[in-house]
This record gives sequence, C-alpha cells and structure tokens, in this order.
Amino acid sequence: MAEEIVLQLNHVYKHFPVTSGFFRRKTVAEVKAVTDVSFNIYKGETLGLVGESGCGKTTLGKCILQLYRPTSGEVLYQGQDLCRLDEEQLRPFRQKIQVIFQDPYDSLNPRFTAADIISEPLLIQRISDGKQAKVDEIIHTVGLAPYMAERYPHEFSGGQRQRLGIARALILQPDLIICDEPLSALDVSIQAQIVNLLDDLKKKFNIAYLFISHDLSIVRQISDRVAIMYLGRVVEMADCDEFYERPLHPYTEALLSAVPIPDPEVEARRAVMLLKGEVPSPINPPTGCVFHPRCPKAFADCPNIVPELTEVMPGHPVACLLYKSSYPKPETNSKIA
Amino acid sequence: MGNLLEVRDLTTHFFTQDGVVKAVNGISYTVDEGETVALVGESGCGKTVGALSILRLIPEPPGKILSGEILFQGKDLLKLSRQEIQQVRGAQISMIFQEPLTSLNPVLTIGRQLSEALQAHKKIDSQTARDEAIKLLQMVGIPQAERRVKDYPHHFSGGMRQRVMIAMAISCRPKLIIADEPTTAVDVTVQAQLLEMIRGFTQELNTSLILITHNLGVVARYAQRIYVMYAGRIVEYGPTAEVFHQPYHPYTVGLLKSVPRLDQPKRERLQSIAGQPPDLIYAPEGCAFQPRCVYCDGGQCSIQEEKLIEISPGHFSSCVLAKGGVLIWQKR
Repeated sequence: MAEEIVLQLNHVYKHFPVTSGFFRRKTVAEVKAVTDVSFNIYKGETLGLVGESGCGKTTLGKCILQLYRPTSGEVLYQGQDLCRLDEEQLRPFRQKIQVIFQDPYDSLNPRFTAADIISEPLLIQRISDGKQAKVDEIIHTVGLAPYMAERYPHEFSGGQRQRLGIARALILQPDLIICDEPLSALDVSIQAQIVNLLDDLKKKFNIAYLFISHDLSIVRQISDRVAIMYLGRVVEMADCDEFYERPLHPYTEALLSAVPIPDPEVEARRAVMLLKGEVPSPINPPTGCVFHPRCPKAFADCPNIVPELTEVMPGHPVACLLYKSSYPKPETNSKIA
Repeated sequence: MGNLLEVRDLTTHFFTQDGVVKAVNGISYTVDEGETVALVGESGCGKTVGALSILRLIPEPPGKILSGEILFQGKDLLKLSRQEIQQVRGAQISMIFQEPLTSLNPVLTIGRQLSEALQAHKKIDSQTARDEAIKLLQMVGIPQAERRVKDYPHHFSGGMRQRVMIAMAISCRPKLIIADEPTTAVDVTVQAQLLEMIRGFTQELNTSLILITHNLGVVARYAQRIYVMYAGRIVEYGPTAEVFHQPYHPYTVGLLKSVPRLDQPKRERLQSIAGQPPDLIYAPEGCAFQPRCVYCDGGQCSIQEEKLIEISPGHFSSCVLAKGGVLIWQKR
C-alpha cells in the first residue's frame, strides 16, 4: 500500500508482573496481556480492534498512548520510537495521538465546566493563541450548542458527554485517535449519532482511528480494516468487507456466528457455532496456538506450534496452522449470513 | 393456548424528591404457555420495572404499583399476601438478573444459595438439597460440580456466575422465567452459550420466558413475540417476524434502522433518532415519542392519548399515523 503510515507497531509485548510474598516483592508470574503485536495504521483510516474482554485490546491502546510502557517492541510515530522517549520528550507526540475513553461518566472531571474540559489539552500543550475561538469552534463541530460551554458534566446526557470527550480529543488536531469502546455505555439510538459524528470528523479532518470495541456490528459500520485479538495476540486482520464475508480463523468464525442479527428471517437460517468453555487466563495461556483448547478445528500440531501471523490472501493475514501451505487445505468457510 | 400471565393496565410510579417518576404507565401484556416474549426498549423506558412489578419486587417506598392486575394462572398476584407471593417467587416465577455478582450473596457458598431456594419451596432435607444443587450445576455446564458447590461467587467468572443464576432460576421448575438483560455483562461467545442454554431449558420444561433486553439481535433470534416500550408505555407489539419486517411505530422503525448489521456492508450513514428519551418526571402530553419523531406533523400527535390499535391480527401500534394499517409514512 502506498498510503502514508501514521503509526507502526513492531512486535509489541506488554507483560504485567504478578507479585506475592512479604511486601509483594517477589514476582511469581506474568500476565501476558499483549504478545507480539505488529501492524500499521494508515492516514485517515479506521482500524477496528475487536476481541472479548481480557484479550488485551485496551492494554494495546494504552501501550500506543504510552500510558503503559510496553515490555518490549517498538511504537513508531513518524519513524520515532515512542517507547524510548521520556515524558517531556513525549509531550509533542501526545498532541498527535489522542484518546476517547469508554465511560463518559468517569473520564470527565466533575468540577470542570465543558469549556475547561475541552481547553485543558491546550493548557497542557501551552497553546494560548485563539484559545476561546478554538473551543467555540470545536463545540460546534461535535454538535453541542454554544451555551453548553459553561455547564458541568452532570448536566449533560451520556451521548453529550461522549461528544465532550470527542471535543477534548479533537482540539489538538491529532493524526490518530484511540477510541476505547466509546459507545458501550450508550443506548442504541444514541450510539448511531456518535458513530455518524466520528465518521464525519474523520472525513473532515482526515484523522485515523484505532477503534477498540467488542461489538462486531458497529465495527463493520465504522471500520476500513479490522484486526481481531485473542489472549493478547492478533489472530486475523483484513479489510472490513473481506473480514466479514470470508473469515478465515476459526475464532473469527465462531465470534461472527455468535452475534445475533436483528432480522428474524436471517436468524432462522443461521447456525450458531458454540465455543467450548471460556477464555483461559492470560497468566498461563495454553501452549502452541492459544486458541486450540476451544477450537473446533484443532488438530495434533496445534498444542505444539505457535502459528505466526502470515498473509494467506493479499492484505489478509491469519495466525492459524490450517492455512500453512504444508498442511492440507481446510474446506472453504461459509459466509456468515 | 391459554395465557399463563396477563398483565392488565399496570401503572408503577416512583415518588422521589424531584417529583413523580412515571416509570410504567398503564401497560398490558400477555405471555402464553411455553412462549418467549421480549420486552424491548432503551434504558429508562420502564421495561425492567414493568417486569419486576410482576413479582412485586419494586422497592416500596419510593416505588408503588398504583393500579392494574397481574393475572398469573388466573390469580391476581397484586392481591396476594406477603406469604402467598413468597410462595410464587422462585417456585412458579423465577428471575435471572443482569449482574450476577451483585445478585448473588458474596458470603454464602454457591451450594448453600442453591439449596436455600430448593428448601424454601420443597420439603427436602439439606443432604437431598445439596445433591440436587450439584445436579443443577452439572445441568448448566459447570465442570467439577461436586467441588464447585463449596465455592463462593467470587471464585467464578462472569459467565460461570450467570450459569449459577440460571441454575437457581430453573431449580424449582417454574412456569415462567423473567430474564432481565441476562447477557449484557458477558462477551458474545458466552452470550451465545447462555442464551442457547436458556432456550434449551425453556423448551425442555415448557417454561415461558420474558426476555428483557435492548439487543434487537437477541430478540430476533429467540423471541416469538416482541413488545416495544418507550417512556413507560408499550408503543408496538406483535409477532417478532412481523414487527421486524413491517414496523408500525416510528420509534420501532428508528430503532431498527439505527442498529448496524453484521451481515450488511457499511452504510453511508446510520440513521439515528435525534434527541434523547424524555425525562419520565415531565412526560410530554400525547405521544411521548412525538418530539423525536420524523413523521409527526404536530397535529393530532400532541393531543391524542396514545392507544394501541390493531393493525393486522396480533400486531398493535400506538401511533395515530398508522391507523387502520394505512401508513402515512413508508418503511423504506
């Protein structure tokens, strides 16, 4: 692809120590939250990052933001590895990579007015030129009324609060916004409003989003490409329609079949592929392919060999032994509908 | 098929310091034997209160069931004494709550909580109850049930706790299960496991199910009939397939259009419903959806009291613009 890369991840790992003993000084185990994740985000694209709770998608988002320092690996923004910078050096980069949090109730300071919340990033970045004009403009851009600027967060509804969160992320004119489940606290009719807003802003300002979500239907609506995580690893990645029409990894297939479609006629014809059990603990992940204990298509080699993310079709990498050329080809997957 | 449950003109209000919250305003619905019925709506529309009122689980004060009848197998549950309703709860009508961590007692073992319900309704000794509890845990797919009955709720994962809740709900073979957003706290793969299991049990035991949810996909997959609620009222109801295929209330239309679909490519724009649901303290006159409605012409909508009108057999809508099945607006 000839497009401009905004952010490049190279073999990012994030392990959290599990401590015990007197004053918890002994490290007894590690939570392997993110393991060997590499991908690029291109200018102006939305990359959907999907997975179940505990799969490491939020941790990965925080690693990009350097709110967590990755255990190893590189996070490259314009060729600069953010992991090697100290807080002071990071500041100019923080302007370019912003975040929208999940809970619009917890992520806004209740003692700040809307204007204070939106202008705080300007204060931190020491930008004082035309501050008021910028705030007024951004309030309008996210669809709030000018008189709301002096209100406090509790006076806003959930959807409006999320608009505030978006305004705060937008005011520094970032290249990339990490959206960490920005819709999950909202009702369906409000979700649609925010999805449309995010889409408009992307077109207007040419921003890239990393859209972290567990809702596969919304991800299809908003994303250009989709990456799917399971137990800290990216197991499949593809262009949006390709991903939903021709899922390759058995986990992707199961996940897609589990999502009910709001249409009784379609539902009557669909079969659910139920997975056995639940997601194992990331402290002690299974050997080989981490998905093998739950995989309906697992075979003898799966517990022994860690499948690498390799391109099976152009722009469609998968981490599954079924697609290695040395193994027999699996039968083609059916479409989800 | 007779009605197992018939709710007639139920009104439940909450008397708070800020004013009277009109959570449920004269709703009526029925559940047939062995049928799965969905109560759908956004948060605050009164769907949970509408179902909790059945078992009189509304905290009183501030809540109060002001009027209505709840006929369960012909008996009015609102007229029963405290002891009598206690005999219905869990035994004939049971509940599955949304958040299993807060609805299970953290200081009692799972086995103890399961056998408590059994012993309350059946004349059995504690040993039999314990064996029964183990059997129930096996039924809901909890591995090593003999060992896990001694565990406490915090030893279980979210999905496992919800399995325990289901075990508790089916323990006395009730005639009706009320499931209040049973899968909002769990992931999609676990959601599929749990809902398939609940469906299995309702079919096996011929149990009726009231499924309270905001997930239209879940409704499409599991419910035979759907009741759509908005601002404390039922605005449309009918057989699921029909309501999804040809909705006759602008709110249902908006709701269906605002959810993106997994099986369809990206749409240019999602159709959203402008504005927000009304504050139930200051509900507007006439149709509550009117301020957000794109079809409203400002005429009769604001004056006329909402009334459910039969559009086609079994399919009702409260929209005055959909009178007699003649739509002033079109679906697509």
